[in-house]
Amino acid sequence: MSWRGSAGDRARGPLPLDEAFLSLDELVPLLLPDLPDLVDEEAGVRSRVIGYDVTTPVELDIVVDEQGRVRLGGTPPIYHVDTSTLPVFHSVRLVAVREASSP
Amino acid sequence: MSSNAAWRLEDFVDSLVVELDKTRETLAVKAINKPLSYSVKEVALDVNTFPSYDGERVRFLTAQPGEEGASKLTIQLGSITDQQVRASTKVREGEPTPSIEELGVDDETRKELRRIGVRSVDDLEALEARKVDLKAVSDVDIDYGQLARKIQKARRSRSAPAIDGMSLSTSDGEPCLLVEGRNLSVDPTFPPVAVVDDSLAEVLSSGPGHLSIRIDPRSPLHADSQVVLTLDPYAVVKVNVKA
Repeated sequence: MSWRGSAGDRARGPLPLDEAFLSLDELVPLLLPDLPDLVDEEAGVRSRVIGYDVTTPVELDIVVDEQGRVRLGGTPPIYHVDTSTLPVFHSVRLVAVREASSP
Repeated sequence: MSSNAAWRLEDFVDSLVVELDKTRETLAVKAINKPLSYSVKEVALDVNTFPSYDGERVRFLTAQPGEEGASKLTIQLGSITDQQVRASTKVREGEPTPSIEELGVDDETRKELRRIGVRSVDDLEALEARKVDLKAVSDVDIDYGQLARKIQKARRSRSAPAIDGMSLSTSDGEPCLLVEGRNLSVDPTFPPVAVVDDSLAEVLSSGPGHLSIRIDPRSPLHADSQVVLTLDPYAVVKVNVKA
């Protein structure tokens, strides 16, 4: 897979994220499950997950520097407490498929 | 949380693409040690924002806790293979043409051209080829003559003339100065003009790689002659020649 428009380091830079947030390149792999095949030897059945479609609310930290460059940080909802003023929940959806080369 | 600042969509998407590229690299490295691997085929991000327009650009301010009435901005990125990119990309031959920013046009014209999707000289020429009347779709009065001149100037600066050597020769028994180089006379509609020591000299022949200039036998080159070559309206070269 290739995401078009490798913008190089243009969008990078020393933009610090809030420490409670992960950069998206750290967050996205963590949202992908890592399950082995499910094997039922008695039934002689092996099941495997061939894809995921994950939709989850996220909190975002969108940092903008003086040149307008943006850095994105995200985290699943941090607090599970009902408060009078809730954080803003954005949403991310990931569709992942098992690589053909995977065993 | 950092202070909230408005961002432009293109900067946001830029950052998103970079992060997802990095994700792909992370997953590729992970796949080396863990054969079971997944690739991300699609990412959609819904962001609660307040869009605003400052007269020139639309910016988005991320909604903060307690703020109501935010709009939802959905950005959906799908994956595309390198093969698909190659198949769907129009390959332009030759050097890339100058961008509108490189032309040095005034801000008003640049903004107006940008507004109607013109970002490079290629875009302008594509519209011209289809006989699109830009005046009909733009609000400001664009000086197209000036724009055309700036395009030519920008083009010329990308293929600037370079002189590799000069030598004295003869043509029909008369002395002539042979100038050799690159990108010398490239405009077929403009015959080069040569001035040797403040006197107009006849250009006998010219081309991208050479110029042959007749030297008046009555005023030959001296120890410190000056030759000014006007190759076209955007390329003037001055050289000192020591005979």
